[in-house]
Amino acid sequence: MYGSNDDPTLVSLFTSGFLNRRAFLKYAAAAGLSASAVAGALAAAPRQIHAQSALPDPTGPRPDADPAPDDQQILRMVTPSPFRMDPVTYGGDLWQLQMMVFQALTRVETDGSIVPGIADSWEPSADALTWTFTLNPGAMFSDGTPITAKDVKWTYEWIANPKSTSTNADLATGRIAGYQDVRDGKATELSGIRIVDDHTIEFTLSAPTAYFEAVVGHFSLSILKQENVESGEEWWRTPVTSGFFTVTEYTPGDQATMTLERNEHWFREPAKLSKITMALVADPQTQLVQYDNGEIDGMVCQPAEFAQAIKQNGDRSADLFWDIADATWYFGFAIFKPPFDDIKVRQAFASALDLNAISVAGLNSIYPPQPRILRPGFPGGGDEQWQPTFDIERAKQLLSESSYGGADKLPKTTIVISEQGGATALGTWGKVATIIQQLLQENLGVSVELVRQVFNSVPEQVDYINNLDGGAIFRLSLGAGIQDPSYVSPLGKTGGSSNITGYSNPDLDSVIAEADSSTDSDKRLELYAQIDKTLSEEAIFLAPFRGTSTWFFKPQVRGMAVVQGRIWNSIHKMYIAAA
Amino acid sequence: MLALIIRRILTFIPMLLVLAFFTFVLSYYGPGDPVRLIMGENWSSDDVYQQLRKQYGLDRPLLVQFWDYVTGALRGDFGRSYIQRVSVGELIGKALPISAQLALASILIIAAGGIALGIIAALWQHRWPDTLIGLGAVIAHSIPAFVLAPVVLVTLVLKLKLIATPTGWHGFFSVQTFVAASIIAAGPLLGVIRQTRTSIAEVMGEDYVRTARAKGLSEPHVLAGHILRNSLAPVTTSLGLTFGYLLGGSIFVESAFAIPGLGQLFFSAIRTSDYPLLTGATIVSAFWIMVMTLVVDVLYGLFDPRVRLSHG
Repeated sequence: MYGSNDDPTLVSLFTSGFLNRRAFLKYAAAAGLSASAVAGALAAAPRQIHAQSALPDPTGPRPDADPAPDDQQILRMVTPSPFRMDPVTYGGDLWQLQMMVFQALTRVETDGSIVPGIADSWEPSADALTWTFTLNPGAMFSDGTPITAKDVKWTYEWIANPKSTSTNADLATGRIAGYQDVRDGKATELSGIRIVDDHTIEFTLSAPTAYFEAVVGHFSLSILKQENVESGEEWWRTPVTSGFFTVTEYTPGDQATMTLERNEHWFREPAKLSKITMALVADPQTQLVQYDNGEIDGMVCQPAEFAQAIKQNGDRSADLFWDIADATWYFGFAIFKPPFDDIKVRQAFASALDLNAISVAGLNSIYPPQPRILRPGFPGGGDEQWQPTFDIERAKQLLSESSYGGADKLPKTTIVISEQGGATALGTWGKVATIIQQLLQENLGVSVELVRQVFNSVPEQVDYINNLDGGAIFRLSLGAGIQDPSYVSPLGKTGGSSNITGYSNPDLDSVIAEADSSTDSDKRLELYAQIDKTLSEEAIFLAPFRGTSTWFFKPQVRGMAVVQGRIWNSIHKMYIAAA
Repeated sequence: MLALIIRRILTFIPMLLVLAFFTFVLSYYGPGDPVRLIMGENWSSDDVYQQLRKQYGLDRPLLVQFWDYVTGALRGDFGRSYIQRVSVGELIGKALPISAQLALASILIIAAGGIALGIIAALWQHRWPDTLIGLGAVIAHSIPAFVLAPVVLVTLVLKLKLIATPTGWHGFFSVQTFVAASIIAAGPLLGVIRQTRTSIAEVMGEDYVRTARAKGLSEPHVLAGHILRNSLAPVTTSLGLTFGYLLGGSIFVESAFAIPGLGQLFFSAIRTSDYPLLTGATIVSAFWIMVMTLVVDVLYGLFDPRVRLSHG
C-alpha cells in the first residue's frame, strides 16, 4: 500500500531487481516514501538482480463477425484535444481524425500498401523525376461537385504558399519543382505541376523520388476545395470534405463536439460505420468512467491501464487493442562531442542496459525496446537485433577498448531530460532516465548526472548540450511521416534535419544518397535496411523504444487496425458487430 | 462612496496593463514554443519553422508584439488562438458565462452550506455537532479536487449507478452542474464554516444580544435580527473573494467534467503554449477578481456602517 506521496515506480524498480537494497533505501529516503511502502517492498524484493520480464505481443486483429444493422453502425468516441478540421495548418494528433474526412491522391491501406485515394493510378518516368496521376472520374467533394486536376494543383500550391501557414509544406510539396520560388514569394504557382486534362495531372520533381506515391498520400496533401478555403480564415468550421465521412455537426474550441456521417458522395467502397460522434473530454480518468459505464465505444489506453490490461484476465484485457507504431522514442548520444564521438563508448553504454526490463519497470511495457529502426511489416523493415544487446561483460570490454580505456577516465556525462512545450511526458521519461542512470552506475561503474530542462526548440537544446561540461545523452523521437523507409535518411545523413545527435559517416552518406535517388524499388529497400543496420550497430541510440498505439474498444467494435501508428487510418473498415 | 468606486475602477487600468505585460513576457520567455507544437511531427524543419514564426508575427521584437496586443485588446481584439485558430474573444466569451454560472452554483453551495453549518457549530459549540462539522469540513478541505472528482465520478456513475458521466455543460439547473459545483465547494467550505462559527460565537457574547434576549425576543428573532446581521460582514468578504477566484474557473474540476469553462481554457492554453489565449484568459480572470474585490468592499460597507462612515 502506498502513501499519497509514495512513488510506485521506485518500489517497482526495487521489486523487479533494478535497485539494490542500499540504493533503494537511499532513494526511498530522498523521495519520502512511507515506512509501510518501504517495508512492503523489502518483503517482496527478489534476490535476483536484472530479472528479464517478457513483453506482450500486439493483440492482432479481432475476428470478423456479422455487422449490426446500418442504423446501429454508430461509433461513440472522445478525444483529449480540441479538434480543428484543417489538414494544412496543424501537425498534431488531430490529423488522425482528419484522415477519415479528407482524402489525398493516395492513401495507406490497413495492410500498409499504398492504394488509390482521389487518384486511380499513377505512373513514374524511368528516372522517377516525372509522375503522372490519373484521377478517378467520379471523384467528388462532399457538396457533390467534381474533384479535378485543377483542385489538386490549387491545393498543392496553397500548401507551398507560406500564407497557408502549412506545417508540412516542405514534407508535402518540397520535392516539386518550383517549390523554393513559391516559398520565397517569387512565384505563386509551382512550375513542376502541369494539368494534362481534367483528370490527369503531372508532377515534375526537383530530384528523383521513387516513392512519390507515398509522399502524395501524406494527410496534409488532402485535396481541398478552393472556394471553401477562400471563404474565410475559419473555413474549416464548415469544411467541404473529400473522404469517407463528412462533418454534419461541429462546435470548435473547448466546447468541441462533432458528428461525422458517411459521405454519400464518396466514390469508392463506402465506410461501414454510418456515424461517428466525438466529444472533447480532456481527463483520461473521466474517459475511463465513461468507457466503463458504456457511454463510449473506445478510448486511448493510458500506460497505467495498459500495464493492467496486458495481464491475463487483467482489467479490460478483453478490450485492449494495440500495435507497434512507426515511431521511435529514444535516448540518443550527443555524438558531436566527447566521449560519445567514440563508437566503442556508445556501444559500451548501449550494451550495459537491459531495455526489456527498463520497458517493463519504467514504461509499463507500453513502449517495447527497438531492435532496429524499421519495424517488421514496414517497407524495408524486419525484427533483426541490430541495436547492441544487453551484455555487461561485453559492455565493460568495449569501454576498455575505447580511447578512454575505462569508466574512471571518462569525462563527466549528463542525461538531459527535455520536452518541447507541454511537460506531460516529463515524469515518464524522467523515471526512465533515473533507471538508466542507476544501471550505468551498477553495470558499467559510470556516474551520470541527471538534468531536467524545458527547451523552446531543438537548436536551443543542442546549444545547451554544447555548453555542458562533458558528454550528454538526451531524449528525442523520430516518426515516419510517410509510408516509406526514406524517413531514416535525415536521421543518419550528415547535417540531416532529424540528425540531432550529430552523427556523421561519409560512407553512410553515400549509401543514403544512393537510396534516396534510386528508382529500383528492391534495391532501395535493401539500401534503407543497410542504413538502419549501420545506425543501430553504431549505436546512435542509447535506449531506443518503439512507439505504440494502444486503445480500448468494446468487444462489438471490429475491423480496426493500426496503420502508420494510427487507428483512424482504418476507419473505413471499422464496424459494429451484431449483438 | 461613488467617488471611491470610480477611483478604484480607474486603478484597474494600470493594474491590468502591468498584469498583461508580465503574462506576455512570461509567455514569451517561458518554456515551450507554440510554433514547434503547431508543427507537430514536422518540428525539425527550419524552413517551415521560420516561415511560420513570420506568418504568426513571432519574429518581431517583444515590445512591438506587446504594443500590437494592447492596441488590439483596446479594440476588443484579444488575438487568435494559435492552436484552435478561433478568436480569443470568442473562446473567452463562450467560456466565461459557463465558469460564472459554475462559480455562482459553487458559491451558493458554499454560502448555504457554510453559513448553515457554521451556525449549527456555533450554537452547539464544543459539543458533538460542532466536532463532527469541523472534522467533516477539514476532511473535505484536505482532499484535492483532482482526487475528489474521480472518486465522486466512480462512486456516482459506476458504483451507485445514479447518473451517467456528468460531462459537458448542461445549464445552471442540472445534476451535472450540481455535482461539479459541490466538488468545487468542498475546499472553500471549511473557511466559511469556521468564519461563521467564530463570528457568531463572538457576537453571541455581546451586550446588545444579551439586551435583546432580556427584552424577551424569541431566540430565532435574536439570531436572525441581531446575531447574523452583525456576524455576516467578514463572511461576506470571504464569500465575495472566493467567488472572484472561482470565476477564473477550476482547472481540475472543469477538466474532469469536460466543462468548457475558463479553467479548461487555461489548461489547454498552458499545455500548448498558446500565448494569446493564456494572456487573454489571465486578464479576464484578473479583471473579475478586481471587480469582485470592489463589490465585496462595497457590500462590506453596507453591512458595517462604520466602514461606510469612514469612507464617506
